[in-house]
Order: sequence, then C-alpha cells, then structure tokens
Amino acid sequence: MNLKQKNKNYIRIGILFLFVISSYIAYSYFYQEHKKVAKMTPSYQGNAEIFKDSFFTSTEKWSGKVVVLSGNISSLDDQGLMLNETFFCQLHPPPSLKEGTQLTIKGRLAGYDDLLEEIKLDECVILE
Amino acid sequence: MKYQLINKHLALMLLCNLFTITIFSQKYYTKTGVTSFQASVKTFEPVAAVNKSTTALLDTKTGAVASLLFIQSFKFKVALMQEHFNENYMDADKFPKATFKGTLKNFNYNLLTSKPKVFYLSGDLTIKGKTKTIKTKVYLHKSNNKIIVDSSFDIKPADFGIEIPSVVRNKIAEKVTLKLYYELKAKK
Repeated sequence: MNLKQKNKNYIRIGILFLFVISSYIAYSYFYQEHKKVAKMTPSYQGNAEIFKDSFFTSTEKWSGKVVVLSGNISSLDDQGLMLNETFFCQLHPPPSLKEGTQLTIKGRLAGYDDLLEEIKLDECVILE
Repeated sequence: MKYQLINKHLALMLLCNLFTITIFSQKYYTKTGVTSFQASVKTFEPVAAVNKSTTALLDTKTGAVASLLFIQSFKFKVALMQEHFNENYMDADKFPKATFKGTLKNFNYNLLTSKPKVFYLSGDLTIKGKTKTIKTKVYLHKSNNKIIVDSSFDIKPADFGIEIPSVVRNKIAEKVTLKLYYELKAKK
C-alpha cells in the first residue's frame, strides 16, 4: 500500500466519521425529549388560594408555567381532581385520595377555562 | 276534602321533583375531551397531535354546544415539532385558546340510544383570533349515562391565518383533519 492510497483511506474514514457524528447530532436535536413536569423548576410554590389572586391579575403570563400548589380536594373523579373548587388538575388519582383532604400537586397551567369558570392544569403529579 | 289536599300535595311534590330532574340533567360536559389532528402528507414523521384536555358543554334542552381547548395542551410525538407548532405556527402566547360555539340541529336527548346517531352541527370555530363557520356531521350515542360525541372534519390552516413556510409546504397538507371524541357526563 503506497502513501497516497493510505491518505485516501484516512480521508474516507474521516468523512464517514463526520457523517455519523453529524447525523447523530441532527437526530438527537430533532428527537429531543419532552420536558417532564416532574423535573421542571416551578415558577410558583405555595398556597392555592393565594396563587388564585396572582393568577387572575395576569392570566396570560401564567400559561404553560409549572406551579406547585397546596390546597383542599373539593371533588375528584377518574379524570382528575378539583383543588379549592378553582383548580382542575388533570391526572388519574390513586384510590387512596379522598375528598376534603389536603394535597400538594405540581402541574402545568393550561389557562383559564371560562366555560366552567376554573383554572386548568393539564399535566399534574401528586407531591404529597 | 282531606284526600284532595293530600293529592294536591303529592302532585306538587311530583312536579317539583320532575322540575329539579330536568334542571339537573340539562347540561352535559367534559373537561378531558380528546381533540386530535392529522396534518401530514406522507413524510418521515407524521405531523399530528392530541389534546386530551378539551372542555365541552352540551345543553340537552336546546342542543347548544360550547367548547374550548388550549393550544399548548396539544401533544406531539416529536417535542421539537410541538415547540414549533406553539411558537411559529399558532403563536400560542398571543392566542392561547381555540373555541367553538354552535348548535346541534334538531337535537333531542330522547333520540339517543347506545347506537351512534347522526346530528348536524354548525357554529363558529375560532382559532388564532380568526372565526369561521363550520358545518359538520356529529355522531352521538349514550353509554353508561354518558353522551359520547364523535366527529371528524377538515379545516384549512389558511382560513385561520396559519402560515406554512414554503420550506415545509410540501410536508404539511392544505387541509387538516380534526377528530373529536368527547365523553360528556351530566353536570351536577
């Protein structure tokens, strides 16, 4: 094998290597993971009743934001639960949850539902 | 005389009961209705998304329908596509929700059975701040005291001012197929 051919081979391997790397980068950019509510840092953390006021002063600002809220379960079914009669948290509640008990949830605010007059959180996890 | 009075009382009570029953079963609703769309011509990755948090209300007395969904609640398989959908196509910060207000023509609760029945729905669909009148078929049936709403219709993104950049124009269909599946329960 002469030197010229050897160099050519190196270039070929280099190009192949670059191609693999760049397609990997493109692939992982395109197929990046969904942000998980459980792992995101909340924009608000505290009492649901107090949060209600700050939500209504600037409804738009809160859309898509993740918050941690503590409140009282006012009702629940297999699709979700109501916190303080104002916040609808969409989740499949475990059977241990009971109406009238205190709960802290972490969820993503979808916005204000003016048909049912409640604040909707579309992705929720129970913290305690 | 005494019997008459009792009868009157009974009649009144019965009337009251009937009255409350009709009032209580007038509205059916869901908070977790499924609205999905399919916007792709054949591509390597389908342009499709599902919103499982749609609110829908049906007045069973008048056939009036109202529904609402948040754009940001649409979930795509590809996270990047979801981001582009919200930011570039739908401007979700500025127009966070899509709404519909309309009526089911000749709706009568008593016509509903466990077999799907066709009704005609017409009303105003508002997406990205633009309103357009929609007419479509809706299939309704009863199941476990719920009213199941099933429908599918096409809309044009251009009608709602949703621009599709020329680079991806051949990957996104001119007509987008919307599918609805709502399980409505009686409002207490």
